[in-house]
Amino acid sequence: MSTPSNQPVIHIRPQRPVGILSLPEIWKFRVLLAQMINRNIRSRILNSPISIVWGFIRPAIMALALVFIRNMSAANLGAQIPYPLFIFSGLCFWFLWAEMVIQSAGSLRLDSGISKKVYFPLILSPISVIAARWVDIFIISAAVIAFQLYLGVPLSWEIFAMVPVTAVMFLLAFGIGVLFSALYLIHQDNSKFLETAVYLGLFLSPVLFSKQILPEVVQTYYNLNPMVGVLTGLRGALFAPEHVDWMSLGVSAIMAVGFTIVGLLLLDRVAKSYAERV
Amino acid sequence: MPDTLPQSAPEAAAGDDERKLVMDVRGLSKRYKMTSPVTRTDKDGNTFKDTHYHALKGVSFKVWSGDRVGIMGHNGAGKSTLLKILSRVLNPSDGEAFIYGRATSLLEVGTGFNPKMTGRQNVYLNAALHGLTRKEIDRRMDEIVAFSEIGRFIEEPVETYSTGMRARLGFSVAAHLDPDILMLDEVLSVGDAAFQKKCLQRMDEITGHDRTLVFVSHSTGAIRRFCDRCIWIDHGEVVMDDDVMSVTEAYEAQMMNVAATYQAPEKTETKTDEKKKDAKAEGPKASSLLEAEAEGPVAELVTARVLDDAGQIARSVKIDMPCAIEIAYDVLQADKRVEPALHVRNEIGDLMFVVAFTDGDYPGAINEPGRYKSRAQIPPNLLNEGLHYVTVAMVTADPMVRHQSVDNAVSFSVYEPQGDDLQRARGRYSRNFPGGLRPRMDWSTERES
Repeated sequence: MSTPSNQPVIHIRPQRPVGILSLPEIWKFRVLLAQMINRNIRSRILNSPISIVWGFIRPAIMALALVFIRNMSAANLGAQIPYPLFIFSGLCFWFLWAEMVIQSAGSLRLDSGISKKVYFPLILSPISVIAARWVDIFIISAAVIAFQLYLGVPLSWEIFAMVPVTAVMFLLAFGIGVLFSALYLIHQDNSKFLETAVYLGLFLSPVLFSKQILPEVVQTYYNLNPMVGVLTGLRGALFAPEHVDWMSLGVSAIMAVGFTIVGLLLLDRVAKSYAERV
Repeated sequence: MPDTLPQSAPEAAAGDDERKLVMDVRGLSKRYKMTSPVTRTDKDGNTFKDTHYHALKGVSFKVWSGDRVGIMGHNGAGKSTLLKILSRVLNPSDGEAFIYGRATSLLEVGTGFNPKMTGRQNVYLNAALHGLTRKEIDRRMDEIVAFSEIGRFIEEPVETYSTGMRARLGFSVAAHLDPDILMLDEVLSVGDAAFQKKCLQRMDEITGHDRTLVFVSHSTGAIRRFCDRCIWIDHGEVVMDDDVMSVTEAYEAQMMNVAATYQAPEKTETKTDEKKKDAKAEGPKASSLLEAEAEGPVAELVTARVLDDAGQIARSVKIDMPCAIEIAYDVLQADKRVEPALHVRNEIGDLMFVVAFTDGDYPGAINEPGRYKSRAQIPPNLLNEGLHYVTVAMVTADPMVRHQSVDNAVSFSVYEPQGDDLQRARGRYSRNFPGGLRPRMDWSTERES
């Protein structure tokens, strides 16, 4: 029996040799991917209209409190720009990133109602969660830029570095998200671990303080926290007095790729029995 | 494990046909890991511990374009597992399958509906899930909205919809997917057989022959209505794969004890005469409904058969055709005014009706001993779809004495082939008919103003 030509062929077998991140497969489902991104943006806004501005309102409120504590204690946190701007920008981007990680990690479970009924490449779920956040990066950057201009901190040509920096930020969130989405499938309790790690990360990353306050020796190893490169990169790109630390960003990029590869490999293993696990 | 090895695909006899192969299933198996092991015995008699549950064991078949294949089996037989594997939401443990052409599988309608988004936005999402491009959706949008009968609510969030509206919108998208191969689980349409029919009718409309249907159901009625071929799956294996009538009849015969013929058991006793004398000595007894025959048997059923309109023995009869119950019986005593009576029950055991003996040739019932053969013709368009069990009783009508009663002597199923719905009692309804009977009445209507 000859195979009918020019027709889509679906081959069902125990192992999918193409792996979880098959670009041709994603391309085939690009219409669905677009619709899923669209759905994620819309449903977030429709579910809570305030979420459009919440991305910078919550950091603003927290920044107020922290600025107050810092002024009372006169602590040196190493910021070369006004501290309110430093902490506001840090919190804005941190929360955005943390939400991306936690949501993409939970995306497979969230879409399980669909994926148990209709086939689509599972990887579309975390991709669409991450990709839907392009809106936020614009809103948040606009808020930060408005605040910096109000404080008189100028922009510089380095603003073009926003493109690679946000790319690394998104890829890092995606890699960790995919890794944990696979771990969630293995055991749901892994979500607790991720939540704790993200919460701790807020204090271990240069959100509230600059890495300049750390001893020289520690600073090198500090780059192994992938958010160091991202946060210094974001601030460097936006604020003229600060600069993108390309070395640090490179480390972040490598780690983002590493997380993505490990995450995809793990998800590929787990996804074979996906339907039984969700 | 021998039972999970992929078996070679059976050579299909359709090679001479021009039709294309659209589905090639080769030895699909599915195992689930269990926590408690079961002891099994292999071919050589060795026992081993098996910690797997085998939902499918090497299922193979081929589907050609234009086939309307029903997959049937009782709950847990593996038919839904098979459909899920063919829909790619479940991975097989062994074996493989090829699907050629645009396949859509509906395990559910309205999958992924987002309550906050409007009906229209959800149509885009749902249709994209089933592989439609934006252009294709745009082109069908008006039809989808019209078909769903949602009206202007299409611009409202789906959370404001009633359950019925939500289902209709989901159905509407499903009905406009227009795939080459449609895989349908009957479960999804519980409560809305209307959709089933609309959807399948649409498949007919679009093209007659190129579309392929794979329909999973445990109802022989639905399969007979929509399919021309049937695969019977039991314990994860293909039991039978043939034309729809022979498979569904075999299924009913085995699973529901449908038997179109009855033969009285051979008599081993020959001492009836002695018994008769003994009994006579005791005198007549008070009449009871199931009378212990004082003078030996008065009448005995010998055979019973269900005949279709052509007079052939039939386990299934068409709903719009007459059928008959034919019984042969011995009347053993004179002047007892013996007559047969039929009790017809439906699938769930409800008594539909009782048929009295009204043969004009025997106005005083049967008084002479001998063997008789009677035939009761059941008019067309009377019974509803489904299984019917016929109890045959031999009685004297007045005073009422029941001489013999053979419970569920024969049974048959009434099915509805596709055809002219106004000539049968279906009319323009597409849902399943409630009630035990489905008579077609002669209507006459005049316009009065």
